[in-house]
Amino acid sequence: MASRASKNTAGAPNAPSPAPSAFVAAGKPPASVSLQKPIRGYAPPFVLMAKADCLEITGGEVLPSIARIEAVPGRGGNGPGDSSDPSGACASMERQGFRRIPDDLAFECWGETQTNAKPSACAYRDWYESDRVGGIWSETWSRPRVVLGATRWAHDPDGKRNFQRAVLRWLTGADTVDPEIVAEVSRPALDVAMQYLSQAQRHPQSRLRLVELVAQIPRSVLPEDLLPYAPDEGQE
Amino acid sequence: MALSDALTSTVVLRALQRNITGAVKNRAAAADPVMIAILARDPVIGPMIGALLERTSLIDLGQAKAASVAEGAAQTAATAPTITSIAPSPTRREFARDLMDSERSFLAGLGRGEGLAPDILDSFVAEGADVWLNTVLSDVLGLATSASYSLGTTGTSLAWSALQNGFLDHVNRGAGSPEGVFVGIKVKGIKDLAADVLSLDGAVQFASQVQQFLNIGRTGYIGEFFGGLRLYMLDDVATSGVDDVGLMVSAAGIQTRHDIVPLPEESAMVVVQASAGGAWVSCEAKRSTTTSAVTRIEHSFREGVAVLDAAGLTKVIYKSS
Repeated sequence: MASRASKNTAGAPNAPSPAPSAFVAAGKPPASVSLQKPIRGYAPPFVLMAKADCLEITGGEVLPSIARIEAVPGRGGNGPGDSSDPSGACASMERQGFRRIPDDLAFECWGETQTNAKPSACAYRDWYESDRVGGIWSETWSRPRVVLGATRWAHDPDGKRNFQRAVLRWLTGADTVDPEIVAEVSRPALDVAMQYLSQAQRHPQSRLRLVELVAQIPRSVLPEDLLPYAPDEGQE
Repeated sequence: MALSDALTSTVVLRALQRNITGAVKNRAAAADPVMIAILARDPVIGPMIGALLERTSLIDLGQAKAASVAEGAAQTAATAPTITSIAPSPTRREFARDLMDSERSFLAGLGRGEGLAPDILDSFVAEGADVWLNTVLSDVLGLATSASYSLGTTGTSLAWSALQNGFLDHVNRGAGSPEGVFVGIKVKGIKDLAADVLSLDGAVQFASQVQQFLNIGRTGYIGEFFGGLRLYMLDDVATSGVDDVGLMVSAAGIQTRHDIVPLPEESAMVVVQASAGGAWVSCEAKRSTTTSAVTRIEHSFREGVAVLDAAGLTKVIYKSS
């Protein structure tokens, strides 16, 4: 054993005394502390659904709003029993016109093409082991990680928008939505933006929020007053 | 009992601790008229507060006006556009905790048939009610991610005007109700709104509603605004990507359903047994599966939550950090 041999050599009568700095450098070794903590928390398995007339503005585009149906027994119409079966809640959503997004709908996220050829067998869903039974199920564009023992999340908003674009094509066969629909979906955010605009000259807080909000609104529907607060074309 | 004596009692210490847990916020939210109205339709809880329904159906005859017809002629009937019927499936929920040594002492006495002091019994019953409340609220808030309607914008802070406009749209869809609407969002959303009202013009800042909002209470109930929107700060709000997904719900938006849980015979002692006229949450002290000592407290109930009327649900979207 290296440590025993080292100790015996140091204690031998004729061994040279170690320099004081060696004691300082060696010191008392700290108790072994691992910074690799498990991810904390639990999130149930889920499926994603969408419908053509349920849209949202994001990053200057109008794209389908994504509904997450969690496989929690008793929730949303799910029956008792298998905790990974969301069929009851899915049936309830289908009655409202939602369609279940196929597991193999490929899209770009985190700089690579996401397909169902991975352990979760689903392009938009990943699983992470955690300190809780069942682990964490997460959308592909959100990844849990541990920073100094705390669980933090990293997101790829562009990846989510890529997924929403793929869903739009799957739902409608088109890459964009009708300009009239863009105007209608953008209206609530425009109302808020115009209110911020009236306060933007006096309050820096309102100005910051205006910039944040206008970045999400499609440029095609922005009135002239709001254009100075929009990101340059080609930027988000 | 003097205060110093009280602080040496396990039960009192637990009671003091209970007042700083997240369940306090959920208790406040569960007393909201919307939550009460939802629970009033529950077949188990309903009878206890004056209503009974096994299954709920909504019929929507449309909003058309009556047509003029000639005397003696009959109007051709159109098919009623929507009939929705739901029956949430109650599923068994369990909450179990192994007790520490200090708590085992009275449980050992319990095993010998010495019974429980009323305050200890109350403590367990209250704990069970909190567990149940936390579960119901978590399930209700969890439905936000599947709501068809939304207010707020992804990736942006929650704006006061977005909340107000979203509330008006919610009511305009026919989802208004005498109970008003219940809104649960996380503390980040509340902070967004607080920062927003501080940037309003001076006269508006001093309006009573704004002052009420800034004088936030310590239970998580923030206040009632716009004549019927009651705002709560809750922890169990869902997230989706960079956003929190809070919930605005009317009483007709959600249906809950509970069933009574039969207790197993091998239970060491039943503290509260669910029965037709009693509680819907059972609490039992059980023998551990690995030792002969009584070491485990379990709360059980059967609960299900489902969307009743999609128009009564609006998700509240804002940037989570």
